[in-house]
Amino acid sequence: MDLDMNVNAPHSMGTTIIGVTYNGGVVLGADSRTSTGMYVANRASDKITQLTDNVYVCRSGSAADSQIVSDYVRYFLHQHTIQLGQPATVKVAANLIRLLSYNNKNMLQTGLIVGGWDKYEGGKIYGIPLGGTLIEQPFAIGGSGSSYLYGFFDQAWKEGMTKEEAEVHLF
Amino acid sequence: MALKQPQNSLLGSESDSQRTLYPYVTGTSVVALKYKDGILMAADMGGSYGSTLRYKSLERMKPISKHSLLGASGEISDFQEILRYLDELILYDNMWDDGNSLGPKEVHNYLTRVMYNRRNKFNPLWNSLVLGGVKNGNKYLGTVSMIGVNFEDNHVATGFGNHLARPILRQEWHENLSFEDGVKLLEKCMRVLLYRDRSAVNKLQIGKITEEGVTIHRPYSLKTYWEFSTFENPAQGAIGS
Repeated sequence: MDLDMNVNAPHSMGTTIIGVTYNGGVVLGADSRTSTGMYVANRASDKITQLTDNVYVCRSGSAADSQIVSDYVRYFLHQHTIQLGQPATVKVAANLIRLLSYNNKNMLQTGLIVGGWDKYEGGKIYGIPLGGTLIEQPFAIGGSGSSYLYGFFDQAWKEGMTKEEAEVHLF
Repeated sequence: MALKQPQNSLLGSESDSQRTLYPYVTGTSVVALKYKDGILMAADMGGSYGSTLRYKSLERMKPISKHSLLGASGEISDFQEILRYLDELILYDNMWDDGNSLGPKEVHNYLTRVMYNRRNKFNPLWNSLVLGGVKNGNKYLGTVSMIGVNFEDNHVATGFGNHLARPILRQEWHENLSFEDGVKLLEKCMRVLLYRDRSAVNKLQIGKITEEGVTIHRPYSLKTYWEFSTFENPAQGAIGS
């Protein structure tokens, strides 16, 4: 069922997750449907998960895999923050996600978008698709529902949008 | 791209061990040649996800230490991991603080060992690599595949580039190409790849490595030809078509 789901041939409304940077931070968005095959198991899921005060992650793909990866990274980031003595950077959070995704690529099926703000780099979005590639992007879309958005974002996204513009035009 | 789990229970106990995987986010051809002052390398900036062109600003060429430039095609996450291995290699080399630094030949040899040993464990890094560099006036250009096949030559390419670019290079490459001629030749190869490789994208970078160092130029696109007479008056043969 879900194993046959193919991002390039969407035949159902799959997860859609979005992350957009703007001058001053990031905006993250996600739908709220979790399905097992044809049945909607949860119509009020929260796919935007907190990792630290300043870093969140949008989850797509296997619910179990994305949850466990988020949980581990939250745990590691917590310890890292204590050791570091200041908030973790978005890059560190994204790299932790990458490490888990890459080193367990045979077993995991989850695409994640890490978004946050830190004092060094400001608002940043990192996409971590299947396989564990880490790619910093000004905006990122993911999930099987994102197929419908590639054309839209190619046309509608511009460099240097404000938060209001991003929310109105893109979300 | 189907995401089926492989039926590999026949290949022995898997438990925690990894086995041959399949690539997810991939880069296409890399082409490189030796020229008068060093090495020129070209790669486009596309990252495909199956047949979808998912990423359009991936840098698939990276400088390694002072003397080398590494270009990769294949799975991007594995390329990123290789860059980390090389970071560590260069770090330890620098820590000797003995004035010596690993040249392209040494880096190529290291990569060959890594790729071949992973292949032997049935857990390859799914990349084809091009390693070029100049050290002490000696130009070096080599390639390693995901199964550890490695060699050096005056011009190399990966993937589709082997089929489309190498024949052009065999005809037109010569010793002591100028920078302009080298770039023109690479552009000729990249244009053919753009026409004929489905996963190619018209946004490429040229990397140059000389004794002075590495330069990766800003991305740009190639002009292509579409003025075929057939398209001028398409309905001519059949009114209303």
